[in-house]
Parts: sequence; C-alpha cells; structure tokens
Amino acid sequence: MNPNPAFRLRQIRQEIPGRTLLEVPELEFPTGEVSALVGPNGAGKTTLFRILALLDPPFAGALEFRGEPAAFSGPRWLELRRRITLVHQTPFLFRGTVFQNVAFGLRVRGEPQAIWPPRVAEALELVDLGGFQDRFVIALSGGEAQRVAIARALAVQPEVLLLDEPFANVDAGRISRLEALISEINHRLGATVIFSTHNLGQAFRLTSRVVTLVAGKVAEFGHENIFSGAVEGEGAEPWITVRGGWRIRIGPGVSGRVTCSVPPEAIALRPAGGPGASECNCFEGEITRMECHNGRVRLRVDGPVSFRVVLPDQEFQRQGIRLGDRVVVSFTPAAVKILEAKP
Amino acid sequence: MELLGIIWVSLRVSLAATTLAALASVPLGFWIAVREFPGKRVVVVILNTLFSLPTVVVGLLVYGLLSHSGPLGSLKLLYTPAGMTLGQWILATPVITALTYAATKGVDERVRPTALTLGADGWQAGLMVLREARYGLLAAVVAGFGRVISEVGAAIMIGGNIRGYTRTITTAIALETSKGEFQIGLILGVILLAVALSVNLFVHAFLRARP
Repeated sequence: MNPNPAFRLRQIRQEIPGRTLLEVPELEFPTGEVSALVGPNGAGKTTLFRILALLDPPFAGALEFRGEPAAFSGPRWLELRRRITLVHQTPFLFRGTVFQNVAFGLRVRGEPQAIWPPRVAEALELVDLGGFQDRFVIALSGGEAQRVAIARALAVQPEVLLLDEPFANVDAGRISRLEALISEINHRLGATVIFSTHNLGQAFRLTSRVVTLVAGKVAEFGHENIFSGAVEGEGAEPWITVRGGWRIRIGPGVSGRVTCSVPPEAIALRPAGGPGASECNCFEGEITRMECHNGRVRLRVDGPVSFRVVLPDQEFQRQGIRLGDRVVVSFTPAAVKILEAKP
Repeated sequence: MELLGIIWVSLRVSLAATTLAALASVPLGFWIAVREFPGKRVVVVILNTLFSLPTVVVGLLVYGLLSHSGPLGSLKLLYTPAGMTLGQWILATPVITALTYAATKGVDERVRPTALTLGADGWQAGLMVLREARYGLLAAVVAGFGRVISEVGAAIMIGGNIRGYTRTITTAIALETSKGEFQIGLILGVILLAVALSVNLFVHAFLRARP
C-alpha cells in the first residue's frame, strides 16, 4: 500500500473573475488505483483535471502530490509534470504523423532515439492502433485521434494518467474495450488513473473510488440501485412499487413519494432455486457482468429488476459464482437508504 | 549587365532587411501573443497602424539619423546599401511582428497545454506553438519581404539611387519614368514581379517539402 495519496487537495478553490468554478475543501486520490470523477457538464471536472495536471495553479488552497506540495513553476514543476499526463477531452494532435505525436513525450524528455520506435509501437498496440505509425494525423477519424492521444500519454509511462471524458468521442462498440484498457493501464503499468465521465454506472464498473462533482463541489458519494415511488402499506414495513409491479420494502417512518438507493455492498447473493425464499426484498436474475477490483467483485444482476452488487472477493470465491448464473438478490428493508422524501 | 547589378542590389538589400526583421519580429510577435501585460491592446493597434507607415517618412527619418550632422552620421551609412537595409528593416519589422502575432493567436489554444502535459519545458512548448503556426509565420515573412522589395521612398532617400551601387529596381523605375522612358520602366516592373515570384515559389517549394 502507498501511504501517500497520489493527490491530496485542501481548501482548493478555482475562480475566474466573478465566478467560482471549483471549491474542494478536502479530497484525496489514492496512489495506484483507478478513480472516477463523475458529474454533469460544467461541474468542474475539467477545471479539477487542469489543476491536477499542474497546468493551472488554483486560486487558493494547497495541492499535494505523493505527500509533497505541488509546484506550478520552476524546475520542480517540470519534474512533477513529467510524472503526470492529462489526455484532453477533445485531444489536440500535433501536425505530422502518428509516430511524431506518440514519440513527442520521449523526445522532449531527451530519451535516446533508439527506444522511440519500440515504445511507440507498444503504446499503439495498447490502443489497438498497431501499424499506424506513419499515418498522418489529418487522415485519422475522431475515435482514432482519441486513441492516438491516449497512446501518446502512455508512451511516457506516467505515474498518473488523467483522462478527461475519454468515452465522449468513442463509438459505442469501443466503449467496453476502452474500459478494459483503463483497467489494463492500471494493472500492467501500475499507473494511478483518474478519469471523468458523466455516466455513474460506467464509473462504478471500473472502480469503487468515485468522486461526484456537482456545480464545482464534491457531492455526497454517488448512489446506485436507485428507485423511486410512492410509499404504500401501513405499519412496520411499508414498500414502494417499482417498474413491473415489484415491491421493494423499506424501513418504517417514511411516507409520500421517495427516492431511495440500495447500496451494492448491502446486497446478498445466493444461487437461485435454493431454500430461504421466505424473506422479503428477494429478486431473481442473471449475472451479466462481473469485474474484480481491489479485493472486491462488482456484479450486475439483470432480472425484472436489475441490481449492481459488490461482494468481497472471499465471499465471491466461496460461492463460486460464474457469469450467466441465476442468482437471488436479497437485502433487508433497513438497508434501503432514503435519499429524498416528498409528501 | 547593369540590369543584373540592379536586381542584385534590390535582392541583397531586401533579403537582408527581411531576415534581420524576421529575427527580431518573430520572437517579438510571439511574445506579445502569449504574454499578458498592461497596454497589450495598444501595442497591437500601434503595430497594425505601422503597416501603413509611409516609406518616404521612414526614408526621411533615417536620412536625418544618418546624415552628416545626424546622431548616427559618423557611421557613414548614408547613400550605402547598409543604410537602405536599415530603412527597410524599419518598414518590415511591424509587418512581420503583427502578422506573427496574428499567426500565433490563431494557433489552437490546446497546443501549449498538450505539450506541457506531455513533459515539454516552457521553451519546447513555445516551439511547438511556433511549429503549429509555421504557415502563418512564413506568410508573415513573405509579406515583410513584399513590403520592402516594392518600396521606393526609403530606397531613394537613403540610397540616393547611385548607379551600380545603390540603384534598385524600384529606384530605377522611378528614374526611367522621370526621364520619359516608360517602356523601360514597365519592363523593370515586370522584372520586379518576376523576382518576387521566384522568391515566393522558393518558399512554397520549401513548405511543400515539409507538410
């Protein structure tokens, strides 16, 4: 474990005249992990990335990189910048060939020319663009340009890779490949990866470390398995009715129309068809997706009602769950978190 | 042979003036474009105004500077190609500076941060911006050259139109026209255009070799 987080932000504020773009009292990004930055457009994701990439000094506050204060000028600035690389949301490729672009970081670092071709080839292979070296960037499609930009960042083997909306210009067929690439960069190169997206589900598919930004502020941890409906039933265990007429029992003491979430960690799984089906909040479904990350397994269970479930690795191993298995999802009414209640 | 000498003087003086102006003006225009400083707008407006600096006014000013009693009289540059180069340098500088400024401003604003985040130092990032602006920069230098090779005011006042020494194509045209030799004047005009065309073709060939 790395005791020093990749980034630690304290009382960071970024402003342009007359407007505050970002206000982060306290935030950390762990070293060696994938973190996601989620938020709508204009939430301050790019502003935060530009600070983390040391391109814009914050108006106020302190930024630490690996436990030491970050620098925004002087020789230390260059030294730190060479460990952190940002891939812009709409990346700019320099005029010339793909090779010239991908080798750029090696050239400015004064790396010997002999290592450029293998490093460029390796980076291009990672983004499925092997053999593209001699293409002129002007002839690339938008998606290819995006991947060249990622390869260009990978070629310098940064400690931290910042990806600003990497999925924005990627066609649907390539999204899962790019998701796999992000995990691969993290595993194979050991890089800390921070990416932004406005798709919360996507963020959670890749990491459990999700930071939500709303209007320049870090919002409470993003929620999953969100349901809403009118509270029905009197007494100790009222319920709401969700799509398809299914009931989700919730804790007592709420009424009106509620929005609630079921934390993925609070959900238990067991094989379908077994005993013990008498408890409430049981839903059968099929495992359609699973990803292992940091000792935890994220699963997607699709059925009449779909759930995302997080299991500790040990529990996952014990149950011997496989993709395509039919399982029963269950959780207690007390586990349902009420996010909002309107009369 | 006299004609070749005239073309040679024209080319030598104008190319020297353009080169010297480019050496100072390209970095200056770039600096004005990328730095924020008080009065920047005023500087840009003045530069653009100096596009219309009358050549005879420059000729007069430099004449005053270089004449016997002038502050630089001891350099004995009046009626020499070097003196003409100085005058044309003054004419080319604002043109190249202002067009370099425009070319740099026109470069995508992601170039610098992209270079920086890939590990470039300040100089390397600046060079990438210049590299992306290179078509505009060459246009700036070519415009500066066009300004000086075609001007007559400064050349005649500072150079004195001395046959075989400071006579250029334009001063020769002025002389021939005043003598009533319109035909020779016109031929010289065509020659001037041919010279300018050659220089531009050379620049284009250079650009096409490096896409």
